[in-house]
Amino acid sequence: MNLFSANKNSYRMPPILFVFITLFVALIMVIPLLYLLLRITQLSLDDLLVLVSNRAFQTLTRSLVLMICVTTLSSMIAIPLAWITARTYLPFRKIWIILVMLPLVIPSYVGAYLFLSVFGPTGLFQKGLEVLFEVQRLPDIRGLFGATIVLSLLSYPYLFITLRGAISGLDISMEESSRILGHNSFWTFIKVTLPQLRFPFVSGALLISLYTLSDFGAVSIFNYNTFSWTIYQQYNSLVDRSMSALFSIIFVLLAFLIVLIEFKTRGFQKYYRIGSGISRKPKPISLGFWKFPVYLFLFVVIGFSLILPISMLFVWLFKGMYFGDSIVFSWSPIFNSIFVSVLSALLIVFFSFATSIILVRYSLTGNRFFESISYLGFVLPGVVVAISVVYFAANYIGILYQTTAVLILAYVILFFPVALGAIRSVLLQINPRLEDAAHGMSHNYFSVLFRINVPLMKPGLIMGFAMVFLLVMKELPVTLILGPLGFKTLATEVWSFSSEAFFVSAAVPALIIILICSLPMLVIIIWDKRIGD
Amino acid sequence: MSLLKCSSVFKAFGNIEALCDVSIDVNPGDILAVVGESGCGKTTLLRAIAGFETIDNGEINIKGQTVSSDQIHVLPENRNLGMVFQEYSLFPHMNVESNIIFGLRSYDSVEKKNRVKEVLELVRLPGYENRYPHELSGGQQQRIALARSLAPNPTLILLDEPFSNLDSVNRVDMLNDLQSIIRDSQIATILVTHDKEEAFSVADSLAVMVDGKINQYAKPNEIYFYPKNYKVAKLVSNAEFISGNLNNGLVDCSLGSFPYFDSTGKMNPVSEVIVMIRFGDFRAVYDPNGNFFVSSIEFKGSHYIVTVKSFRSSTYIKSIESLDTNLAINTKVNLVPVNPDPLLVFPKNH
Repeated sequence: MNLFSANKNSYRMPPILFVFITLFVALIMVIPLLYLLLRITQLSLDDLLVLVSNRAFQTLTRSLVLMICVTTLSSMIAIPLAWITARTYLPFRKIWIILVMLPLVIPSYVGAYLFLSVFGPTGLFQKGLEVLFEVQRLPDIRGLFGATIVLSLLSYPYLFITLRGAISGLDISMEESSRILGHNSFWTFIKVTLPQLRFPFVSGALLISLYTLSDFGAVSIFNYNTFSWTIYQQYNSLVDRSMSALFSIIFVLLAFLIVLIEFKTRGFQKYYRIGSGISRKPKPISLGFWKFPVYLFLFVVIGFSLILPISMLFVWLFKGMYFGDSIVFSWSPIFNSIFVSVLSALLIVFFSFATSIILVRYSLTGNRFFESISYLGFVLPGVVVAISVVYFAANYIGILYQTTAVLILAYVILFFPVALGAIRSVLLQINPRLEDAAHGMSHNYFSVLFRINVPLMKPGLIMGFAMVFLLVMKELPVTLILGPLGFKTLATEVWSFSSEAFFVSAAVPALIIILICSLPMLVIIIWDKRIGD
Repeated sequence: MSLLKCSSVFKAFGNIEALCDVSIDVNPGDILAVVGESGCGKTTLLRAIAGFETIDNGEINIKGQTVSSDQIHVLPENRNLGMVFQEYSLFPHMNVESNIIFGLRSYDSVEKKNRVKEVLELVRLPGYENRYPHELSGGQQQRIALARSLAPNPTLILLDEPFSNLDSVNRVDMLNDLQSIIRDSQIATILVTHDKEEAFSVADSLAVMVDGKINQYAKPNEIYFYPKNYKVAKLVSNAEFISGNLNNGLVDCSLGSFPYFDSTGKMNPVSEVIVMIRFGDFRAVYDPNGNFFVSSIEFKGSHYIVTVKSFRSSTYIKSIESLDTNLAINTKVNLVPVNPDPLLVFPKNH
């Protein structure tokens, strides 16, 4: 009998406010889709020709090539890292893990700008070589090569987290069973261990693919015309904005296709269980002869993804102070960045809390539909969300056009799924009997919500807040397109300075972003169960 | 006036009837056990009384006030009941004291402290105020959960499978403890369980539930000796059931012909029936021409339990044998009745 109702509240009306919030979120989540559908219905014959034009085809190819390159390179970094930190004897393991995760605080435009300033045709590296070997000019790293390197170095942690969690959660007795059945360690790894890592690998790789496709910062600085960058340029040209809409349609179809492929590979297995937690942990493997190459690998990865970018920021700063290059410093971008990050994080966490209560504790019609649309934000790239919100704001809610409210609305569409995932998962772990017990002790709905649900869901709420804060702080294309006139954030400052090669001026806001982002990042590292042992 | 009265309560989930015409009556100080297999609707009944489920039809009254009907649904927080959940449901982020105080809303702070002390003494865990749930053993968690539900002086305590999460050693102790705690506190209790021993040893009265219906509602000894139908008999007794025929005031079965007791009181004197053979109703006696043989012997310390199988059918009967028995596996035996009591019979078509 319990199957039918025990985990759902059937005797109590859901709180109207929460239902209202859920409906509101559902409504705004479909804005980008409605926009694209609207555009599809308005397609003319000429438009169809654009869709199959050479330019569209080239953009598609470039996007796909970059996606494949970045996924491959970051897998080559993440797989060994995950295995080393999960299975081998590594002194100060926790510290290595944190260092390996930290590149997540570096926005792609900061990484791209620093690489360009060092390895560019006349960057610092060339200056050094000129002194030593009289090298006048280095080959241009902009384009596919630079974008691949920078995006891989900054995105591999996504795959690293899922893989490491999966590897350390594997039940060692399966490997032992395989050995007892007569397979040696190599075949055991191939036949038993690897197949179990397929799902986490695919979902980590999907995250990286979508991250690469929707990246705006690195491709814009390296001027590599993927969908994101092309759509933005077309949008900004002001001549014909319908081009950007057409490209958005192809872009979103591509993203959906990739998610679909991922689903197919996973066999629609929705949640991957990392392990029951009671399985025995394997004895760490001693590195022995491999010690040297392993440490070299760790140093190279951390050196290029973390130490080099951050030390270069300081080099530019000191260079600026020493040679009196103009360092433009103002408080308003800092204030704006923190303001929109905190406000959207609070709002999104509150929305996710309300929505997760409705989704998990009540069986209302439309819940399933909502669950599927709430994941749209993962698939929809920032530029597409931005231009669709612009369209709706300009046409239907004129008062809000060009205000911070619209900007925050777009952040909600983009980042709501992230917070919902974190908050929903903690609510799912709370036995509904606890709430029943509290009601049975004469506490009403909101009393139980605040005294039982909120404290028990704290890890998820904090995690959700930290993730959204971090993402909004780093966000660029939505802020560029939707920010009110003259609205500057740290992100837009870095981008506009570095795209005009004012490397010194870009260093200040870039460093501040990294410093501010480190805080929520530490929170995430501390609270994420997949990272600890 | 009864504390709790359920009058023909109905509740369906989809097309499955979880509660079907359920009526019970609990008076002050009563301990009622609702027994049934998992899925029979007993937990639904408890949750309906607590207010966690609405009901489709009928009425639930607490102290004369209707709390549930097809129209009315008083929320659980307004029913003044205590409930101990199967998983105990102690709040993990609160210590024992805060857990207990959580239900004491109308008390001032001195009264709260005193009441916590009182109930902790009642459950024999004084001084545990500052422990957290994860620092307690299963039995202690259960007693704290009981203390927490007793603290606000509820009208009625509801216990949902309170012993299912305890191991068998703890279970016996807790059963005795629980009984005396409940008696000491003088609060009426409804206990839901699938364990017949638990129910028989604690309860004043028993309700046996099968498929959402209460099949028998009586004192424990009455249910034990005179189960109303085959399903109840199967649920509450250690017995084997074999088929037989009524004939000339006797029942014929593979064990022989014996006097019988008609459970319904209105059976056709010539009909097919199910005969209930209790544990120990028969003894195995060595007989080289016997129709039965010994298939297993279990040593139980003070006695043996011997399982005897028929050569001809799949019938098997368990008998209790003294330690000096000379029976061995595969010994041919016959079964003889231990006492002349009539055998209970049930209609076949059930």
